[in-house]
Amino acid sequence: MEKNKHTVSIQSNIERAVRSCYGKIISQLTYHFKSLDLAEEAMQEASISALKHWQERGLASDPQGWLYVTAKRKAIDIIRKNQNHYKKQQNLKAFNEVLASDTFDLDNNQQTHQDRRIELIFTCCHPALDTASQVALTLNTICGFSTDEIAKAFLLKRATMAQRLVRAKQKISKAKIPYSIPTADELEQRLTGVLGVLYLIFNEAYYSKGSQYLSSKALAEEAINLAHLINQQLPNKAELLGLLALMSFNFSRFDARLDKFGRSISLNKQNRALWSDEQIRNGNQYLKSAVALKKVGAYQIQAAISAVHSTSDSFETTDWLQIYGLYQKLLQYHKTPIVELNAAIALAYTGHPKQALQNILSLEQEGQLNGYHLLYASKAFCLKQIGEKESSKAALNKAIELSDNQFQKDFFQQELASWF
Amino acid sequence: MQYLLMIYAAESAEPAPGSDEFMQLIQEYGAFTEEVMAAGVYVGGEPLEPISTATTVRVRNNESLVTDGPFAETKEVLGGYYLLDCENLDQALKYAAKIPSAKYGSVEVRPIMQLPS
Repeated sequence: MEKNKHTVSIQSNIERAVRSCYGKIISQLTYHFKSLDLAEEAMQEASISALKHWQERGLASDPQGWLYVTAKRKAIDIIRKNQNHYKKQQNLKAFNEVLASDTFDLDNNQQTHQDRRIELIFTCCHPALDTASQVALTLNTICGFSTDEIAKAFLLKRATMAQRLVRAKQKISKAKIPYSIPTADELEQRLTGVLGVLYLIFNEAYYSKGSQYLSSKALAEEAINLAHLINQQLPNKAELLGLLALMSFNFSRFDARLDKFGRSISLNKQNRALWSDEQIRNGNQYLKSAVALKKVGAYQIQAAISAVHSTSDSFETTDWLQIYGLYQKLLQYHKTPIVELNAAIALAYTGHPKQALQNILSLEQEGQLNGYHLLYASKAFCLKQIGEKESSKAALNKAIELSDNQFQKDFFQQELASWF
Repeated sequence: MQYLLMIYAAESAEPAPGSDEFMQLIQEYGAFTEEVMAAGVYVGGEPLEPISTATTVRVRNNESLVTDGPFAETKEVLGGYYLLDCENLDQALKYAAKIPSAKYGSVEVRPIMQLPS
């Protein structure tokens, strides 16, 4: 019994060690051999070796170095065993170069620790792939999450996710999507794509419904880490810093955003003592650096909105006028009905419920948010503020009807009871 | 790696032959062809006659069915192609964006299948 427990803990230690450097090694191998397939196959074999060796002799003193050297040897073995296959590939030249440099570079640790993840991030987030595949690939190859874990996080069947990953990897190899940082003329546009993927990953974690499977906090942290990594290599990008600030501010509320049953708590009900001061400091620092670059963008404005919330003592004392102004600014970059609704809500809190109601009513007329419960909840709030009891009740009932979540329905019911 | 760059556009969007715009388009195509030749990536490329000259063949139950026109009614039709030998997809996409018709039509980039010999 004891022995089993021990074995299990060694095994999970090894798995953790492998995962923590998985993306780094896959990226280095892919960069050297110009083949993601080969890198993955070699890494899989190296992980099996690691499990066997380390279970017998304990974890290597430098697990990442050990795994890298082993995986590289495995890759070279695979190429030698499949000479015919690789000879036909256009990238034979790359393989030959690696084989030639093999002897002196194999145990050279300085070179082995060069981080190539950023190159592979740009591959995974290439616009030739659809967004869902970009997200899945980034989590799989860079963060080392398994197909199972990603499928569960996105509430999809394993087979669906497996097929998505296989197809995306096939496209990378068949269409020869490069493993490189885009050239200067494309960098801004391509970076915008990468930021979009990181923000999707972060939000998936933050608003996660599959969180019981994949630790959502770890996933959110991965998104921040990747953004941080890119910032180290491509510094002074205003929107990247803006996204880092936005994610830091939102992440500061991570522990306060859910109750003990895992139900989300809205901003006005959160215990602000649980907000992480460290993350808020990080957010402020990033936002300051971003703003200094004088290239305003949507992430920076959203970060600024989040910053106002983060630095307010309470929901009631929040500077709503500033938030309203920022939403107006955001509309210049990102004109969506949701942003317009948020602007209207902020306006209502500044003490202008009548004007806010007008804006919400015209949004309702446009019809794009008509299935959205928060449109009606906001409408109800404004109507209540101006004393229109009956219409307010009707709007709140509509919000209850449209909400797809019992907790939210209960919450609106409580409001209904306390308002009237 | 070879890529086929297929140029799709609505024929109605193209300038009329003989017009100044048409002459300019021809010039732009000439410049593009020279560029890809000079870069050493050009393998081949041709314009096609209008869609009204197209004939479609289908074989069903060992019988050839010949019909006029394209397989399906589409507004944008294949008007020509380039076959380029590029380093990777990014290079092919850069050339695709330089094809003059990309400004009013679209260019589909497809890698040529590498058959096992």
